[in-house]
Amino acid sequence: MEKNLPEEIMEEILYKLPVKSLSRFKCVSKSLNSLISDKDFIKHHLKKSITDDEDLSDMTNHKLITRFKHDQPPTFFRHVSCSLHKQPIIKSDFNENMVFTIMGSCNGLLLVAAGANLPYLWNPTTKKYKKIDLPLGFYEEEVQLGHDDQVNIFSPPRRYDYVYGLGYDESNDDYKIVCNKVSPWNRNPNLSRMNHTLMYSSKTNSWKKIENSPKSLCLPGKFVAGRLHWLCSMDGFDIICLNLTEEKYEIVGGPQSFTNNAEFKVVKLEELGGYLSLTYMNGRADVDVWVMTEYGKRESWSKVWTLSNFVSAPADRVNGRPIPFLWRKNGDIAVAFGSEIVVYNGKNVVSRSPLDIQLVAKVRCYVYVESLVSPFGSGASA
Amino acid sequence: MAAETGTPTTLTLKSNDDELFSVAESAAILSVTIRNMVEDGCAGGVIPLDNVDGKTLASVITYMNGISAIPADEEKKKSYRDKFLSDKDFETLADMVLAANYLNMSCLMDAVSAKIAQVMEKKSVGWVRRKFGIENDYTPEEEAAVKEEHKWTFEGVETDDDN
Repeated sequence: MEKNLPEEIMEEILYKLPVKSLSRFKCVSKSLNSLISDKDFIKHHLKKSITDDEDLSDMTNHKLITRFKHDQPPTFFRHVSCSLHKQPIIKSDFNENMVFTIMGSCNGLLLVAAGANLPYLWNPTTKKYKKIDLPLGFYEEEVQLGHDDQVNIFSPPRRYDYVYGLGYDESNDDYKIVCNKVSPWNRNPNLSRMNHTLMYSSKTNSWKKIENSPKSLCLPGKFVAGRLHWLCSMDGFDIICLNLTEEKYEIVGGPQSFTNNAEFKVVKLEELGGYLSLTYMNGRADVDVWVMTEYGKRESWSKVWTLSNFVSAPADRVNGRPIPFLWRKNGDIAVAFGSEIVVYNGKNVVSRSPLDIQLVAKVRCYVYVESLVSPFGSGASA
Repeated sequence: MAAETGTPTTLTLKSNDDELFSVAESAAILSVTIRNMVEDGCAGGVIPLDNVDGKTLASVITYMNGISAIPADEEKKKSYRDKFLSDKDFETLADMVLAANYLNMSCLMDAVSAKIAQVMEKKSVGWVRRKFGIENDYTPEEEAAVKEEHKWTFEGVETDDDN
């Protein structure tokens, strides 16, 4: 017996299905396909997938993605993503013949750069990807500038750094990529001649030049609260951010109590479940995780986790360097160690789940949420 | 809204196939539709529910009584809902989601639609077409193309259980 359900009830049911089922049901009919491909449906489904995973010990829609060293061929890294807590599995290869680096994660889309910094937008869940062509001349410039630059005749072969970031401009419903190209010997923020910043809009599928950051950038930007963030100075712990709607830079202060504390050698800026976070590594001994619990309020920075509260061995003796990757307002934090994910509630261990891979300390891990968001822009049906 | 005497008020609900059910007002007003009727004073005699058949209404009333007997404990309510829906087949669930929508019972609506999603998750394209009465409006070429594009989604699909 068939049951014709009105579209609004059908939608209520579809919101609760995973991306894989929804992608399959696009084959049912043209009308169901257009419902599932509708941009408001995609947004609502994404929001629901995020809120359903509020409990860190019972997540189904969030995945951890990283590179791991594959047995064959040797010396080759492949990307794997694993479910958090539910039967970790090796899931997908983007392109088996290409080595690429993940540069950002936002709403289920990953920004990856293959080979010589060629950016792609990739949805690892729907397996759709789009090559983002940089403007003509963005690489050639490298060669041309080399000829008439008289200052650095004796420098080693020139190589530019490309600093990326991926974020979402909600008011324009637009996924934006920022690419800052800077020559390595020009890190002095007062010299801007060799510094170019471009912004890509997935809505218009085009790049445009934007203002350079007042401070030099390094490492991929972290997307929180409509802004891309970079840690711009290792001793002052200042964070520079770019508001993706207004395209303006701002400074976000780090935790006041840690300013100029020389004890902490390594500082990492992270996005932990929508919160801005700083991880301090005290030499080889301890790890502290700080979170800005209310975005924009400097006094809201709180120390949410310390390795030595749970593990007596120094950080370099722990089985796998601790990688915090999600934090929740209730104080729960998920930390990956080597081949295990541990959830803490601030005081105790809440759950432990094994991964079937060994996380490599030097390779960055990203968390993404399974979504239908298209790398072809919000208007696209693909 | 309830009677001033303090004794529990009972409402009489009538299904679209003319079955009569009596239910405590305190349980029935889980339905916003019924609550509005009670508040508007339209609940004097029998409340006709033109979009719900007797079989479904009996089930909904079982749910109303069951869930309103549980004190404010979201965990317990959730496990009651899970248990209540665990043995229902697709047809019953579809009738219940329509009834929950008509009666404006958001907690039941949410639970039943989640249960239907759980039933559907690993089902085939054909199963969805048959169960929901959805006409395949693709041309054979279009269908082949859309299936090829989503080939990876066909692994792990359950064998159809409806024929």
